[in-house]
Amino acid sequence: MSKPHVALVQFPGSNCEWETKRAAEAAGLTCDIFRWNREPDLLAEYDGYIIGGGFSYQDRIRAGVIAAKEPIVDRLFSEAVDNGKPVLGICNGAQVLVEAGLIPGLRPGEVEMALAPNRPYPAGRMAGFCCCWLYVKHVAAPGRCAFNSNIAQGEVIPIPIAHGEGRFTTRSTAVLDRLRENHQIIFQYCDFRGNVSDELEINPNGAVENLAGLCNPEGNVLAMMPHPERASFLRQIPTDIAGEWGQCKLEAMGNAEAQTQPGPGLAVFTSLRDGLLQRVAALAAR
Amino acid sequence: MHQIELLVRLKIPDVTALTTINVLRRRMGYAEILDKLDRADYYLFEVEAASEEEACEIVRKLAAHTSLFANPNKHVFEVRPWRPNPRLSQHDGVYEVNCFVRSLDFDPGPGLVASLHKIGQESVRSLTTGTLWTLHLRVEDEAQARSIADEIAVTRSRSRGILMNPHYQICQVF
Repeated sequence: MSKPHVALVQFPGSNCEWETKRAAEAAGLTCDIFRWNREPDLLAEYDGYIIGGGFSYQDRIRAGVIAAKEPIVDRLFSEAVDNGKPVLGICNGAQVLVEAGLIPGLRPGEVEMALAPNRPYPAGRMAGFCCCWLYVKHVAAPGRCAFNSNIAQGEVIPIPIAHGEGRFTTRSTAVLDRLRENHQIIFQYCDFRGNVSDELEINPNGAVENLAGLCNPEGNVLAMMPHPERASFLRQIPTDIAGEWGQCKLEAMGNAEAQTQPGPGLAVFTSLRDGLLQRVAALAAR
Repeated sequence: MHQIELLVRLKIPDVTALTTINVLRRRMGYAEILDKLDRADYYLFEVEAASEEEACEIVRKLAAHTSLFANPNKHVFEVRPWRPNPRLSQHDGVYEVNCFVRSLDFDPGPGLVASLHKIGQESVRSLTTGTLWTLHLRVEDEAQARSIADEIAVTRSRSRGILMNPHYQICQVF
């Protein structure tokens, strides 16, 4: 069976497309960088989609909102909602998906949440851009969405964040209730032992419920603020990371071959690959 | 107590405003209605002073000399007394509607006031900050202008609204 083919949508201001492509290809996908101003209908040829990180349209007005109005996102919306194809939004991609009404997607097209500026800290002063490694806990059952089948429930993953507007929030408590009921919460910020708490070091952007990654009810769209592509190879892991991955990194020090081994973020892309292979096989069997 | 407005704009064309009007006109169907769109950083001061003119002068000096509000290399600013204005201004069938967008959960005003007090500007009692968008709408009447401004401002869906996200911001239309 040929490799699944994904389009990585590039907007003016995207800046993570090459490393995301590298991670997707390491996971066994073929990946084309697809510019925002190409004919949107060409997206139909692809099995799945990724919107990577960066600052689309320089975050004008607020992050992701301008890109969300582009015709290419209309097409992505229809491929996701009407055809059930998987869409992964990372960081700025997550912001685009929220502003496009694909996440949380309880009523597709409605803007039910925001990725607001990081929490004010200390009180009265803006936290601003936050760039660091932290931990997320994979709280969903494997297979809940198209991007988590290869991650064990409860697994703690070291992963970097880099954003100024990454605080998942909503004015609707009903939306939060529905997210819990539907098991749409995939990743939550936690400490290296997996404890989920709202301390600044653990949840630096102040996201409600420590939300780091959310899927839509159908599970084919995932928005995550951390960058899995920056944790896809052992060489990317810092040496001072606590836990199993930090130990792996230390053991690989001085061994160039070992440094190319998969990192914890690669499982997001291998899960996508496996899901797409199953989907392609199912479609072929019809 | 006097309420004084400070509006700070870029000297060069404002690319955020240009991008926004481009999206509204080309992608969201407002080409025939939206004539112009301006954007400014907006500060509403409450100033203790003997007269309105004196209060304006205090704010003018703060804007010109403290580096907290405007950088003279790239900004121009305008100071004016705040006036309750129940009617929208209108010229040749074009209504001017202000949308004041600010954060629900983060107000830099108290921090700025504390900074001003530290440098001896204790006549400033409070400060509200945000972004002021001014829409120039070619519509039938004032009610329609207000209604369309609200529709443009509040992002309710991917096809409706752009200036603010109601999950962490609020907007006053005036």
